[in-house]
Amino acid sequence: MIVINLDVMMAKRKMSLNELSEKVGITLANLSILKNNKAKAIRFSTLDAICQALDCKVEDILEYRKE
Amino acid sequence: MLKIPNKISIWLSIILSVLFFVVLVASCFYMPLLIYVYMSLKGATVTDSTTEITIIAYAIVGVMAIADILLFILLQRVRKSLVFTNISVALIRGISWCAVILGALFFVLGFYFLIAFAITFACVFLGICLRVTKNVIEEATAIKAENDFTI
Repeated sequence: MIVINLDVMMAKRKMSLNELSEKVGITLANLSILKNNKAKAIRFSTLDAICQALDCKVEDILEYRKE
Repeated sequence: MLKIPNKISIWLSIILSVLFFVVLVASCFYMPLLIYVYMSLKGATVTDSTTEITIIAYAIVGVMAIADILLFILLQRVRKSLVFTNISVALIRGISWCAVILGALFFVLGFYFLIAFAITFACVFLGICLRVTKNVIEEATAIKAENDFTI
């Protein structure tokens, strides 16, 4: 199972969902879907924008956990 | 081929389904007369089986009315752009079952009027077409859900 650790990185960078939404260019609703692990897929462009905005690596955002 | 704009096409379908429902309701009041006239034209006399024929005819009208109502609800959802949802799939499934039930009713009617057997085939074929359409919409709904949750 792939887990999105967006809230962890947002807390580390002291960034709110609104700020991240503006920087990345995704709606608040879509970011919420991502943050709550309800997303079914993520585009590379979105991942790229999030990593740039949070100044982190992909593995900081995406984590594989055995079910 | 004449291509009607989308919005007009949907409204045309809605108007036709409402008109059809009105005809169905009207036929309920005139059913005994219609059966009497048909049997007179065929040269048959009114017998005990007329009651059975009337019951089957009312059952056919009832199932058609249910199918028409489901069609109307489906058209309203199409008008609101709520096509690829589980509710729409359920509505199409319901209409396909109505077609199959109509086929069964016409099959029974076929023992009184042979022509009804031909209508049975048409109804069952329509039911099969609607089931395939339901499968297509169901798959499209799953693909849309996948797309909607792709960020």
